[in-house]
Amino acid sequence: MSLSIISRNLIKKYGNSKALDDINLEIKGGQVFGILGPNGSGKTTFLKIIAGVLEATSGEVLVNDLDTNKDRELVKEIVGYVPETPTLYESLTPREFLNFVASVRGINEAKFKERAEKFCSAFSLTDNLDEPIGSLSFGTKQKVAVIGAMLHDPEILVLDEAMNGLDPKSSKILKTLLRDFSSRGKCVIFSTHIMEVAEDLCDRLAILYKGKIITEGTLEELKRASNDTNLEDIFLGVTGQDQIGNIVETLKEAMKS
Amino acid sequence: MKKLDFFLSRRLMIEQRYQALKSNQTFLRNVQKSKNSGKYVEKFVLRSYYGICFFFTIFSLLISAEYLINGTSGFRPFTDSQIGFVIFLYALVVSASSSFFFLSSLNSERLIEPLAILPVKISPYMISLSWFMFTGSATFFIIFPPIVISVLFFHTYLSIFFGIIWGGILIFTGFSLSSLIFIFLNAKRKTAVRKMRNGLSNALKLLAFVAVFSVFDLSLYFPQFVDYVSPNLYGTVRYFVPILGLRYIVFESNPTFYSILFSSISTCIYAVIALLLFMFSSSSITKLMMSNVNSTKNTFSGAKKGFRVKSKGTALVEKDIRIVTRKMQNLTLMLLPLFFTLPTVFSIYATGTVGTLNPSSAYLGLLSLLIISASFYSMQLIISEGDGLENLRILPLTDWDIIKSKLKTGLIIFSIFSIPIIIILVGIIRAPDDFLIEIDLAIGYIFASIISLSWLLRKIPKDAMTVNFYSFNGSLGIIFLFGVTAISAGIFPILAILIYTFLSYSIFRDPYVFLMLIFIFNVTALYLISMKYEK
Repeated sequence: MSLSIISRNLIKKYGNSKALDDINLEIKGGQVFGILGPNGSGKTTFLKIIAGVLEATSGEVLVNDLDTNKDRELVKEIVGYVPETPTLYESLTPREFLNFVASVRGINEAKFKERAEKFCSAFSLTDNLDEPIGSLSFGTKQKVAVIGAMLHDPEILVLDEAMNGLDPKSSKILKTLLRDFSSRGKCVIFSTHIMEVAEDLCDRLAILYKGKIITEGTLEELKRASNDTNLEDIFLGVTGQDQIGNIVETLKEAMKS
Repeated sequence: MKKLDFFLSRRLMIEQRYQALKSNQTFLRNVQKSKNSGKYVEKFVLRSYYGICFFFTIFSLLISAEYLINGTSGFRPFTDSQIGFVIFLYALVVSASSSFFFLSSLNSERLIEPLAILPVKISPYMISLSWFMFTGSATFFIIFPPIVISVLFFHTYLSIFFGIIWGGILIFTGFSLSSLIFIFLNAKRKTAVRKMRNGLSNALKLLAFVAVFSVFDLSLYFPQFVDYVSPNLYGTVRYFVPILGLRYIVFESNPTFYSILFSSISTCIYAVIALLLFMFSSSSITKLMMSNVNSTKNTFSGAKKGFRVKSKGTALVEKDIRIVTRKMQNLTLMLLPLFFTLPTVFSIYATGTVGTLNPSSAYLGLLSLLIISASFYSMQLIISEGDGLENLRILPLTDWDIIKSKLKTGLIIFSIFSIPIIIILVGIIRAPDDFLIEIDLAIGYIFASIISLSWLLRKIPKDAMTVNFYSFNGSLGIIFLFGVTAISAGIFPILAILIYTFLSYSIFRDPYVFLMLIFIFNVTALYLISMKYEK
């Protein structure tokens, strides 16, 4: 059975407003898939549904043939999810938090020890392991969340702007790890606002705007379709946000007055 | 005070209230729907302020009425009762505890940070003013009803003057005391001192909390103490004893020149002391909060080294115990059921015929402790998840996993609290020593907790990634929760009473039959509900 994420006619509503509107998408194993979109476009909602954290209002999302609405616990067992903001237990230490995650996930102790030590060392977290999470910087909390999501070596890794706050070394390590993940046939899906990261890392990309996927494909396919040479211009073009020159001029005038 | 200081304090107050409300989905939906969300939030805060004032007024009226009515002989002046002591002490306790929660929330939600970067000189009274705008001023509504009653019924017009000033003295002192404790617990110290503090701080916090509430509980339920001490305050001394002397200062129905003179002198002295303390604590807490903006590095002296894997259940319970015991707010709230129920339990036992109380009465006497603990712990253990709720949503956990872990944690805390009580009841008051009572209580607690936990989990919106008091519709939700728990805990005793009454007319007259019936009902219900969830 090959790994895949399939979204069919996915709709997610909050009250009367649609956060996701008829999303159809297929992501295969061995791919790093990037989700781009302006703030409020529905990226986080989409990723949370894939991770089994949120329920879809209608339509379906299949993760390895498991329905995220019906088989949520099973989906969560094979998915590693890093939320947009690392909301961890502030009164626990990173060590206690990782012990908690490993215990709930039932990871073999020897494997857990080895992975935790290596991850903490790679992400320079060893010195902060016994400090309360509440006292850590945003970036350090993000490292704890990333390690927590990878400890059980998930089949599918879902990262919501996981590069935010990471220092260059940790960011580089994470990118390498994501590549390694996909090279082992696993599926990586992540959202980012950093176009360079998306260009550098993604095999395929989708751009979400107001809850709809407005374009999807490899970077080359997107370039060909839009006649733009870089992802930033493609993104701004398809989301109708390409009038930046005028906006900047207006702002310059406002600053002078 | 400049206009800017008022503006910043008001902003801080609204932000603090917003933090409390933000996980209420109905509130958030209404905010999104409203044309001017800022105005909506401000109006909502104002409405909740009126609600709290109303609640305090009703609560205070109920207490005042109890002391006003004197059996068959009509009304008695407040000078003849300990209402002054109870109501003013209550205002002090409410002020101190709500101030502490206010300060903790400013600190934990980092609400000072946005103000600290503004290029303005922050007033040393910004935080205290912000506290007074909502919490402090609302607490005054505890004081007003007895003053109004005293003026209307006994024409003690000076009560208005002395009552309001003394209300102010105690409410502001409550803030000062909380601020000083907060400063003591949060001030930066050298490593050695900090390690020692980490070990002692929770014990100290707990002790202070227990002491304050014990005094209040004792005054409410064992008034003999106040009745004994207060009239024995002789001559002018009575005007200078804080709180205990307030029945003479505030509620004097036959004032003389000397009583007014001494009351005025005493009031002036305490007002000056309270004012100085308030000024000192206000500026100190502002300084501390401003200096804490970028430095929160800390360690837990008890944190365990090494990476370990435990069973899922143990890991969840360990996590629950840690998040409860490491946060003052969570820890103190876990103690509240004791303060609500202990006086009732003690008074039932104390007024019963010592040593002859039968087991069924003993069980029913402890039922209030069970109902309040089961509902309160269930709610508190879920609320203590806070933003961490998202972690439970991410991990492969079922509702039953969460219910079981919260249940075990609650049971551990319930046992820690109830075992000393049972020892006291059995050892000191000589209540009937029957193991079946404890067994029935424990099983009843488990069953009632499962019902209340599952009710609470259903109430949290599926999209919510955080949980707090308002996730369950605030006070209304709590009333429903208590109702649900009371029904689940009370239905079997009621059934048992009916059957026992029927049986007692025929052959059985042994009260232990009653306990056995409850045992059978509870165990059966527990088995059925566990089977349902295990599926």
